[in-house]
Amino acid sequence: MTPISEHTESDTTIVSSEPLTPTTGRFYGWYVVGALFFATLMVVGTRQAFGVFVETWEEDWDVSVGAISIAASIGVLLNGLSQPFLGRLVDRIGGRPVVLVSMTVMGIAFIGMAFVTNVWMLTVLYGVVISSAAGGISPSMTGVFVVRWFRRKRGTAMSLLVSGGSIGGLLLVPFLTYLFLATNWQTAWVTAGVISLVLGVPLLWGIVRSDPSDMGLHPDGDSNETVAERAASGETVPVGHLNAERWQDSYRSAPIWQLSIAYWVCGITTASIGVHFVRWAGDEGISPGTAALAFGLLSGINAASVLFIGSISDRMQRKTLLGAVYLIRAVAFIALIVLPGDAALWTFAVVGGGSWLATVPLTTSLTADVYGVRHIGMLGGLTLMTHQFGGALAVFLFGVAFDRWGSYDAPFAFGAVALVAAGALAFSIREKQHSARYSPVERPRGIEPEPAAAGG
Amino acid sequence: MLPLLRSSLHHSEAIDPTLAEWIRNEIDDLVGLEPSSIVAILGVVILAFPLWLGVAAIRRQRRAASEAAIRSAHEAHQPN
Repeated sequence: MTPISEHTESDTTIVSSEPLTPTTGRFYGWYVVGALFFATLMVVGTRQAFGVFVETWEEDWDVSVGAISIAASIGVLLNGLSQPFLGRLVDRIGGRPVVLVSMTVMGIAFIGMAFVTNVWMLTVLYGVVISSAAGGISPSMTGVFVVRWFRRKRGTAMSLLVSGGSIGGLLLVPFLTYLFLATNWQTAWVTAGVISLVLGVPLLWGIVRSDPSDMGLHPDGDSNETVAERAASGETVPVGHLNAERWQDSYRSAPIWQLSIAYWVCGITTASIGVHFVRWAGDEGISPGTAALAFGLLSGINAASVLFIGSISDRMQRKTLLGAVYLIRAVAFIALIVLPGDAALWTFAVVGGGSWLATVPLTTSLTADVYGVRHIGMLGGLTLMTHQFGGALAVFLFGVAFDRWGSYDAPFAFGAVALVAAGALAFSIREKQHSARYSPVERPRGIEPEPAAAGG
Repeated sequence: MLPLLRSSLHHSEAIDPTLAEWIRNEIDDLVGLEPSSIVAILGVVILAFPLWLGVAAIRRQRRAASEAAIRSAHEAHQPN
């Protein structure tokens, strides 16, 4: 066995010189992505199914939708607030314990939902416990694994992971809906919990490791010999020059602000549409069913587009694609203003769908390319929190604007302008100057390594 | 329906009940099966991936153990 270099490409210390996985066959990182894909599918799909049970709870508990929506509202806020804390935890102890605990808590809480008998219990269990734990399986947390396991195919792996959420919605929502129809809502929640605990937790436990060095492997599946040859030839560890010792230092540079502000606009435009789309359609004389169909089409297109855009982002500058995605979404918003009802609806569904989810893998991958993996949990968590808060603010303000002016034209125009600005911000990122993909700093292997993430 | 119960489907918030009802109606029109049959079909689809992944991971670990044993035997027989 050829001794391997002291540090891997992710700058973490090798704990074993003997690989625990085969030297041939598919790279183990894809198994990690597969397990996290399933966790994402379960968490996102089950949480989306919440809306299916609202009317039943209204009748069973004799409460208003408003009371039930308190649980959902608290859930949205806590999910956003939990991101930086969980991100910091992931950076300090590794992602594996965080996703394992999150999945276990979610599974138990899903089962616990069957025993909820009033809005207060719903608020505690769904709004606080489930929504906070879901933060541990969010794209910014699971993305940490991807950026540690992958370097050259980071965009492809990230987009596969993110698509788990879309597919989760497409599979879990009808599955739990029909289970609810065939039995009752309690059985639906217990089933989701049992699947999470019996399949989700063991998959994460058995397959997922925080860093490739935990298994004696290197990012992208590079062999020990290849890495040793590169080290012997004096090749540098590919990190960008903004790879900071402290996460706070990242905020003294432009790219994190450019990415965060653009992601804030992403939150504004996706959350506002999600909430106000059906109401806008009603105002345009379009039936709720047709609007829902269009939004369903948008959701289907986004699953395909995120895979396509994520994969090509590994072969070109990510900021170019990110900027293009924001501009495409701006076109969709403009269509809502200038086109007549039905034409606006379907144009938005197709054009908007192409840009809906693609910002997630692009933003996460670009953040890691520029700032490295040391603080990616914290940086990703803060960026996602910005996104969530922007969305919550926009939901409220778009509603206020509609009530004041009786039309969505002004807020949609604001959305279009904000998206053009976000696109310009993304285009203005100097990726070739800051990204490790294009401008790795001259740091020989074995010098100034990043601390290893503990917790395997 | 209050705003936050409508979904952006961008991350993981609750689905719009209108969309959920539409999906259900479309599936009913399309397949015309009993709810229990649809649950069975979708259940198989949902469970197939993690089961396949788990089996593949176990097979990979066994192959790794086998490769490691072969390497150890090979190194033990090599002259110093």
